[in-house]
Amino acid sequence: MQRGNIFDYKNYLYFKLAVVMILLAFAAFMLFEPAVGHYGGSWIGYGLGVISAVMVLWMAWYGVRKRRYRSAGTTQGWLSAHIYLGTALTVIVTLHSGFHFGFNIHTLAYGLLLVVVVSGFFGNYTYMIYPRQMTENMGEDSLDGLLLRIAEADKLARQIALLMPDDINDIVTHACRSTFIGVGLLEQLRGFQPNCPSALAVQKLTTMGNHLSTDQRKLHRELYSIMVRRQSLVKRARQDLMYRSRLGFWLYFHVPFAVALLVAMTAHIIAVFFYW
Amino acid sequence: MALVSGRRRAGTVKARTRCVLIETPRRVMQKLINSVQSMRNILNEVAIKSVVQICIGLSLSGDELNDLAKHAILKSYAAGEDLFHEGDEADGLYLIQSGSVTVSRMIGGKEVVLFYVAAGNYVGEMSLVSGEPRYATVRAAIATEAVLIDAGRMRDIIARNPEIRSALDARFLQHLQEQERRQQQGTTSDNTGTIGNQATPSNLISFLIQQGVGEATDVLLIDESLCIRCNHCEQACSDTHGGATRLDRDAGPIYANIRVPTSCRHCEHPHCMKDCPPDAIHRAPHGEVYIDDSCIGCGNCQQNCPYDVIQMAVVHEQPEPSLWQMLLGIRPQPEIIEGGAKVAVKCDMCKDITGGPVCVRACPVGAALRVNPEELLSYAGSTPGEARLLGSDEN
Repeated sequence: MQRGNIFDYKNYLYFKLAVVMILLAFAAFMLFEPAVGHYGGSWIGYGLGVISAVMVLWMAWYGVRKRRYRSAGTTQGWLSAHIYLGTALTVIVTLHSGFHFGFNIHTLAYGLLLVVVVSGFFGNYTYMIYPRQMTENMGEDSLDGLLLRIAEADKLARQIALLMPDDINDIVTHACRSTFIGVGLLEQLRGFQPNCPSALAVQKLTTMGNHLSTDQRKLHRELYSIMVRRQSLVKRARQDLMYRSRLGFWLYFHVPFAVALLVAMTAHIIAVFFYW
Repeated sequence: MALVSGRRRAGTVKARTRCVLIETPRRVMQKLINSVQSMRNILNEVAIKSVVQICIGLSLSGDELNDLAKHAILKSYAAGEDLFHEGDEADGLYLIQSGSVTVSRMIGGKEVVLFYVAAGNYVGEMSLVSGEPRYATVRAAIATEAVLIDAGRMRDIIARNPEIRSALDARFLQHLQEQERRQQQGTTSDNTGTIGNQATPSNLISFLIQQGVGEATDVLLIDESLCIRCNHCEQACSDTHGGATRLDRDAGPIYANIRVPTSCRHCEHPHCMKDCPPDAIHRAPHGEVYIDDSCIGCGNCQQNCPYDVIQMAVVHEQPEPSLWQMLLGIRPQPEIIEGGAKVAVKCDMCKDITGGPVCVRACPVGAALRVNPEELLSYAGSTPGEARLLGSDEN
């Protein structure tokens, strides 16, 4: 049994490979300078360009590979290679360009590549920190379980609130009706609702118990504890949705930009050969 | 040995010449053992001899072995019953024939599990070597059978065979060292005052034993500190197994960062096999417990499984997604088949797929692991494995 994460997979095999690739590319770049200076069309530029194009295609193939469950080997190894070699790719592509940039399809492809790689870095960051926090937040509970318990608390709170004065009933009803959990992407990513009615209800209920009759006071205490419990459940459910959405959000950049990169790269290659 | 212990075959048997063998199914054999006394006696004697050879690796002469087998006592223990207690007088060496045991000591007024020992190993040699009272309590983790060789006889053998003496001595020292280290871990977590929440290997063993991992031969664990909740494990399982996933990643108890998801553990003595009318549940040579095509969908196995890992489902081939669908992660619409018969489905450890379990191989971050509890919890392999599991090598 071997436990390692995607970064230290097989004792940093792909990290080492990426470093070797970068060093080789740099060495070639330094040692062989064409008479006209470095640019994509020199033979060293073409060489690096061909390597980069193959690497881009291979990176994109990861999307297919990870869903081909019958293929041999582990997806973990592929992801580790995807991360390290993808990072090395930015260096190789930069050397391929010979630092010539402009408003054209070539630089567009370069820019798209950078967006893809940077969004990937963000993905790595989320993979490193959120899984642990998610477990701490949820324990053995599932999101469905939490939502069910919130619904139960809602029902109970509203029943008790019916026996209370109108102002308390209004607050509780409002809290139950207007609390939203993960409605809309922005709210999911933020992980909270501005002026959350549940939090406001707990805050207001704290001070509202003074003018009540003895019977109602007992009910008020019960209602209060239900609302506090409910609020913490709401908070946990929102946190969980926040982690989930953050773990997946970066892919909305990574994948579409990768497809755009494939298109731009094809255009770049055709253009280069057309104007040869 | 494997028949009695329910674990994987201890060795490989190859035909050297052309030969014809008669195979008696495991279930039939066990019925026979349970109902015919003389059959049981013969098998017990053979089992005792083989357990002596496997456990101690003795190169005893035939006579010595026969003598040993004749005087050895086969003892059965229910789950949770003590084989012996810390401080007891040493009565002999216990060779574990089937089941598994935990070794624990009282540390700081609290019982701390030090080791987990599975069938095919022995316990109780420490006091035998030193002549002192029992160092630790040994308790059956599940229903266990052990062969007891009494202390006097064992000392005789040791006196006659110096290589056994040195082997036992070496093991004694190794255990002493290991115990010392574990106790240190126990006490350091004591000092922090929150032993209940401390993720020490001892607590991990107790937790896993509580989850029934003691009777497992192969169990799926999820490292929640790595898991990105992508569900590729479940998806891979369902895509390669007729559209019904055999694991529930999201359900199952957690200890520290380790989750035991709802997934088959391929028990030593599978509860599901107990009452299968068409005898459709078998054990493959590598230990995988699987259900064949003759399942009639009666649901007995589902009810008998204490871990809820068997479900009734309609199995049908999955459409292969196109290249673009795979690249963009779009799922093809499954064909809805009306009136398909439900059959029992469970994890078969991907025995027919080259490369091994797809749930583990499909995990992009390496959070899904399949472990053999013997390797994970036993004397030799435990320490680095558990430390890695609990992430103590990090940060």
